[in-house]
Amino acid sequence: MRTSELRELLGSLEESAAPEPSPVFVAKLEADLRNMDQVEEAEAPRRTNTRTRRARVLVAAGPVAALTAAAAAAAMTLLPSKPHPRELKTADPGVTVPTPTSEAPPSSVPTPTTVAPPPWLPPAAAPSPVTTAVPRTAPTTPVPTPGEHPTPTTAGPHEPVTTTVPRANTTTTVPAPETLSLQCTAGMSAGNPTVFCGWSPSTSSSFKWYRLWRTSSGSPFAIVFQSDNRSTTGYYDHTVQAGTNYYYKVDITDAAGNVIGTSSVSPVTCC
Amino acid sequence: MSLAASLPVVVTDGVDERGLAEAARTSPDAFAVLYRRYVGRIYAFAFRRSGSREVAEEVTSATFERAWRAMPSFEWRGGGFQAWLFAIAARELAGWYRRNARHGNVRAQRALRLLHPGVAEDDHERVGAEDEQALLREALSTLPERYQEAISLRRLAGLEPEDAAAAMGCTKAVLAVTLHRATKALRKAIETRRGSR
Repeated sequence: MRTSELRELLGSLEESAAPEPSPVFVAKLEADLRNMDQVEEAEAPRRTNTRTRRARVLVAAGPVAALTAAAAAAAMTLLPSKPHPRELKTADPGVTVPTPTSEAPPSSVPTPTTVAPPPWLPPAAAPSPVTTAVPRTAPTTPVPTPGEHPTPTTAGPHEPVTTTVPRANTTTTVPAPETLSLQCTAGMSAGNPTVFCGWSPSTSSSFKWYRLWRTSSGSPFAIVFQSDNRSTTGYYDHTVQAGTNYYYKVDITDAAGNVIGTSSVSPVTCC
Repeated sequence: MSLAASLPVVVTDGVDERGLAEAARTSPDAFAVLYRRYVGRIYAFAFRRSGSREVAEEVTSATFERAWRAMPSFEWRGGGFQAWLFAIAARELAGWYRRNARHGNVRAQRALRLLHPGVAEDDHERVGAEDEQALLREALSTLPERYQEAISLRRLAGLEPEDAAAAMGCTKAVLAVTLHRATKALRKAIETRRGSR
């Protein structure tokens, strides 16, 4: 067999038609991947960063403080850049962002339960339950009348207060806002600082727009990207500067411009 | 809907792959973008190498699962994410053939294809070409895995020499030598099989 014949045979195989994978297979595999924990395999490709492994050995050897300065520095610089959830600091302990419930992220992704919004952030960055201020009045005997029903409220540990609310006001149902998961990661892209933000797709039937907001020190949130394509679930922000702290959040609106879902605030230090 | 049409808009905005791959080390959403970008190519690569939809799906799944698990240790080097991913796929393919060789699956599948009823007279030429390709696949699967990877990455995945070398973790010169030896071994394996028919 001649070499040219073999090359021709290999060429015909390379150029042979290959079918596209079925959409069902593609979608199912993507779903499986999203549900899979991200764990570094011991059997990773041969090009696996040996320096990272060495750094882990250094860390496993004992506290960083017990190592030599050079070894500790090497270990710190070679450690993966994946932030630990507990590294998220709380600037205002009073602001707590609820954990997304509509779509649970993979367990490997740090789920921010408490984020560090800057002082100038309004505390209403996350949806909060609607509350009604009820003036405290003298205790009254709950006597329901036609068209009304008693609604107990909490006024104090030993002061049961009952107010009467018209039934018409309580029958209005407001759909719960959708909660999106958002994760932003800083890095270098072609030598330029870049932040990538990815979020979970909206499942709301009223979806019209995604809006990605950003703020840095002292400035209000401003929209950096928006899309009416439901499948657009990521954006590269190339307009960031190194050494700056940024805060991102994403929300969704309906056709009328009403916000029908939002995410927690994702802090990023660039880059 | 085609694969291209299902891609998010952000992919068509000229997003550079390096930043995307670096973000994908910790972001499932970034990895999903890469997945959608490459799933068709990995599947086609696995299909050409195996000639089977089932094997192509199995190898494609294993490739992306392994890639996702290994993403935290991913480092951008020559060839980038593409070479890294195809290297995983080539290794998965070689592993699949190693695991299934003892059961004679490859040979049995080839025999089934040849015995497949309903082949028209006009299809004889096409069947002949497919037979040659099946012979090539079978011979390829008997080579050492390193040789299989070299031929697969250069000839079937269509990677450039520098990218294929990066994928195999060697220099271009070493890849050229490996490829030369692999081609020689492949030719011998094909001749052996033709002689035994």
